Amino acid sequence: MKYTLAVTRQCNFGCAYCYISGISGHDAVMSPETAERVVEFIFSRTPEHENIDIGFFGGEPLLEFELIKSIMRRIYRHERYDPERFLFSVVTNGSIFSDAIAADLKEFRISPGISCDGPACIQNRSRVFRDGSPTSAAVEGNIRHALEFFPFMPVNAVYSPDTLDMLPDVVEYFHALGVRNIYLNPDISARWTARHAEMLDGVFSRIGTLYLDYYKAGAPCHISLIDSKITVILRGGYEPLERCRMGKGEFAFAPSGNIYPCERLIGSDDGDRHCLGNVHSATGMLKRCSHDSEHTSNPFCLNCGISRYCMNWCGCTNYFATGDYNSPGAFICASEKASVTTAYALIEKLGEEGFSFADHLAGTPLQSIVGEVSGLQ
Amino acid sequence: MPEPLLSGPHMDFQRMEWKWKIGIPADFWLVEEELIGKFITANKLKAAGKVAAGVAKSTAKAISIDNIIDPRGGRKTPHLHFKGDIYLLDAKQWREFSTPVLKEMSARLAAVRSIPFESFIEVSQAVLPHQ
Repeated sequence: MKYTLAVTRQCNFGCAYCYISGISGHDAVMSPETAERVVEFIFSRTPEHENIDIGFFGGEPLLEFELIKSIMRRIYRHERYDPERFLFSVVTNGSIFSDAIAADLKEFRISPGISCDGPACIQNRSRVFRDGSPTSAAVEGNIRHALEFFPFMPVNAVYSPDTLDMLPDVVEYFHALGVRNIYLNPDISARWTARHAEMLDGVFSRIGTLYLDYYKAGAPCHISLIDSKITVILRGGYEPLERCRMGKGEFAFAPSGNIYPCERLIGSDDGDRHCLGNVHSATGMLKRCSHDSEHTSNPFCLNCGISRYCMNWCGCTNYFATGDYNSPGAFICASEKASVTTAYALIEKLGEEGFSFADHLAGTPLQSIVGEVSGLQ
Repeated sequence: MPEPLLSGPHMDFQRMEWKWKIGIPADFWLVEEELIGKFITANKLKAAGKVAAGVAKSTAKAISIDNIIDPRGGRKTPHLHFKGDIYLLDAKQWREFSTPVLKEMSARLAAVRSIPFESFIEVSQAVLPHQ
């Protein structure tokens, strides 16, 4: 089970594409009472045979690091806490980091990930402080700092229609910084067009060339859009439990205690659209989520040759594209196709170089941020 | 509170412990189980160990990616899983096994359909009341 706790909706950044509407005052920060209810929800709703993946999110979650630590203490003290079943992570905007925070993250076994869109010319386009000032210098310094403590720390970059062609530059920038775990995600709320889709093969192919160079040079880099597809190709497709389980095996909690299927759907936390209930209500959840990762409702997917390798089941991405959790849009279709094609080409190229890719095979296509980081600690 | 993280000689073991908490550990090429069985029989491969034991030593030439600081995957040398056993392959056997599987993938890529940007998608109701 995956749970995301948006401990605050306050943020020191004002990113252009943020899907969490920032507010101040009432309901901006999760209260201790709500946090307690959330923890009880997690313990009571998770089947005993399932692991529990808890992510702290925001706003900027490290603005409320003391609250996060108090939630962690509450979990550790819980009578049903089993260290073998729990994984913890936090995704930060990279503006807040220190030796003391690193020590606390290690003590509490919380794996950090940093969101950064790339070099200054890209990062400062969309990711700025609330007063509009650039964030790149601060974030770059903190990425370097954090990598000293968490060498396989993931960095998440969001690309937009106007930065798509610079994606290989983003990869090169991160690799030069020492980042070895790169996640590249499209801005799912952006207006993507056929022209952007046509660019994907070329852009991903250039990233594939970098991937190959890093691999051969002995400094391999995990790049999500490539590694996940290499694994899923060699594995023969996504397993049912590896698909999005939002609203069933995955829940997100707003500071108000409202329950959503996914953190990307909290939005303005209106308690209406997408909202499944509230942890303060007697029953917790009053609605069920209609998302079904096993059945796409887009007829174009039904006879597609690579549907088993495709993330056409990502409910929130689908919703932003088509308004339907179960129906993927044209851009994700093109993106998945380009990603699978690139990964397949790399399997062949690396095979020619003598790499068997056996190391990919025992992995999972969708290793979570927390899992990958925890694996190194 | 949890114990401090282990270090030194225990670290690799700990990595293994954590690694298998990630996602859903599963044999690869699950969909090709029949093919794997036939390949093992045809090549008279002997099981090198159980999956859970994790003690099998590779007889194939090691692939020089052991310095990857990356918890993905497990054994970095060619191998197959079949009904709970591990079977180690040399490079030639690996190529022999993987080539047709990848060829099938190539055929799948040729059969890709694309969702057109101008397609109209009927919007369904996102959340439903509990029944």
